[in-house]
Amino acid sequence: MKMQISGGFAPETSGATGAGPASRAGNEGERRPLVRRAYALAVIWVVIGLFLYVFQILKLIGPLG
Amino acid sequence: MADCLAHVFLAGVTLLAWLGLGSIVLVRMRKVGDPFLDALNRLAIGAVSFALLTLAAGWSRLLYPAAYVPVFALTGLVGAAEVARRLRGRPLLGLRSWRWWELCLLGLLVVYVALDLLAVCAPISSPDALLYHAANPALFEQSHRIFEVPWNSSSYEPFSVEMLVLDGFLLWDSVQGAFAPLLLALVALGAVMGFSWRIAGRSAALLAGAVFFAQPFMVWEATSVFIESGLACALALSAWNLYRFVRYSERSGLLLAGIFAGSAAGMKYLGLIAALTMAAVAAIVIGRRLNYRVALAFGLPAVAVALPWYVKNALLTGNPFYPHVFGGLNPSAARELKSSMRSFGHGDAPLDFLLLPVRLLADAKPFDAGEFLSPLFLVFAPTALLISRARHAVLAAWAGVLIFVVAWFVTTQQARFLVPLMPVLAVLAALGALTLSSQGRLGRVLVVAGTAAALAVGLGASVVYAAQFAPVVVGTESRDQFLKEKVSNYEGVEWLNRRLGPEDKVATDIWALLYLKVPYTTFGTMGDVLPLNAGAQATRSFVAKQGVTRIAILDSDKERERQVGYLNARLIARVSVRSVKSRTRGDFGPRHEMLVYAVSKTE
Repeated sequence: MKMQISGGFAPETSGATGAGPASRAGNEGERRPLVRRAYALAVIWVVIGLFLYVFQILKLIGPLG
Repeated sequence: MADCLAHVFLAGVTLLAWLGLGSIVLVRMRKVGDPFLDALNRLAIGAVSFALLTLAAGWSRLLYPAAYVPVFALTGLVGAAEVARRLRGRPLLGLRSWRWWELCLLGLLVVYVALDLLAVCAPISSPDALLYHAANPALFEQSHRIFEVPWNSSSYEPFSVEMLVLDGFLLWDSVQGAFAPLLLALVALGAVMGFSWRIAGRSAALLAGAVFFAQPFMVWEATSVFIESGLACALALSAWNLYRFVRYSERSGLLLAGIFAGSAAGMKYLGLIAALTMAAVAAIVIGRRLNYRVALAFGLPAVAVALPWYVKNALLTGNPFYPHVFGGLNPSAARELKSSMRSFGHGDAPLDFLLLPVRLLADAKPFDAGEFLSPLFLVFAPTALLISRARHAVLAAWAGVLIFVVAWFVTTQQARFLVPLMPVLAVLAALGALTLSSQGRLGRVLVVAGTAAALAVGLGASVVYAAQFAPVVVGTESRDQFLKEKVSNYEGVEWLNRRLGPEDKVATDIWALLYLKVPYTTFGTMGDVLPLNAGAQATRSFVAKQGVTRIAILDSDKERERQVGYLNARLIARVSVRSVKSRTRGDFGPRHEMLVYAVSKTE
């Protein structure tokens, strides 16, 4: 089985090179509230995480070090 | 430069030899259904087999190039035949259909491999390698046998990766030995990308590979004769084989998952924690199918592969887990070991645990070079929980990550010791990032901008790190000059090599032991052999037992100076030395003197 990026499963292709590009299944309109909330949480975490990393880099290269 | 190319060529042949020996070892075993995984299994089983054969040869006093090179050449030929068989009729990758950013990620990985090759071709200068990861294999190679090294408690750790380093010594020299951890990192990269490709396609494979490998931390880790890239390799393959068993009921997958978990336990005590974590995850994902036969099929091969190292310790010290469990060190060395392990991180209170993600992202320097970790693991791996239909698998993976992190948190919080988790976190991060980018414009912008920025920053730091090795590798800087700039107290080592002969034996507290060419002993990295507070009788007994004729200590080491006072010793030289605080930035500590004493033979 090949897991699609959207979370579904499609038949896994055989062969050493695997299958083609990952699916970008959008269907945003079908997202349920729970999924939307999870998406919002994920976005918030990514923003916070990247902000924290910027802080680390600033310390590393000088201004805050 | 010619030496560098020859080293790289021999590293390629080493991979073939691993593949060849692995193919021989697995000849009667049913293959897993995935041909790429099968190839990686053979490579890694070959590496594990070479490590165990080298251990056996070492205890049999057979560590001679004349014994190793024929085996290396023969298995290399078998490996070459295996590669030819696998590639016959197989089309090359058609890059034309790839998207531009996929090509960028592929190019980035190629650049990182080149940076790693540059860094590993330089003379070894990593302090841990100089002290034991490479220094002990050098001793074994010179003595043609493996023996107990009581002055360094770390030498009692399972030593599979050091055995592969030792193979490099037998093949050529210390630089060749340093390639072993890098080769294991490359096999781990293959496992990360291969697994991601199978479950989610090319984009996920390239992204997971970049998250895992395209970070300055991994350049440092894979080229400094550390062990953790081997652990990452073993765990990645164990997990992928376990997946084959769970999803396709392939029995050989279960056996191989056990073998690789055991091989992790045979690399380092940390690997034992990782193997137990793997066993817990296996129990979770196998679920209702778990019975004693399944447990034995996983557990027995794991125990068999790891056992020689623990039996060795049991025979030498009476304690298979010496010195971390059940003790065995003298009280002051045990205190220092504990304090040194606790010296990393921000603390071990429950609040410190909760703050780990924040601190690893924003203030990771106390975790020992943690500031060079890629942020992409922590930023995107949690977003894999968005994959609704794979949530059980993602939760099982996260359960394993959490178990390991708790063990890491309560033992020693060194960022390096998180490397075994990186394969699984890289796969989760890639899947999470692609999922997030597929579910909305904001997510897509964050994924693209965040990933590109983190990879760009990482590439900059990696280039700066690797560039310091370029002059010595291309030949515009001499090896001696390089070592003076990169190795603490190297002038002292040079002096000892120049002034002492094979009939001398020096006891020293200088840790660049790899380059010490005269017989030596140490008081113990933690005072394991002669505690700092030892008195006259213990000091005289140490000198007599070890046959010490010279003592070389730093003038800052006042306790050792006091102990020299108990001996009939004469100061014969003061050698100016300096420590290296940062190889990359060229930061040096203040100058000190190395005091050299001649010890009377009446001691």
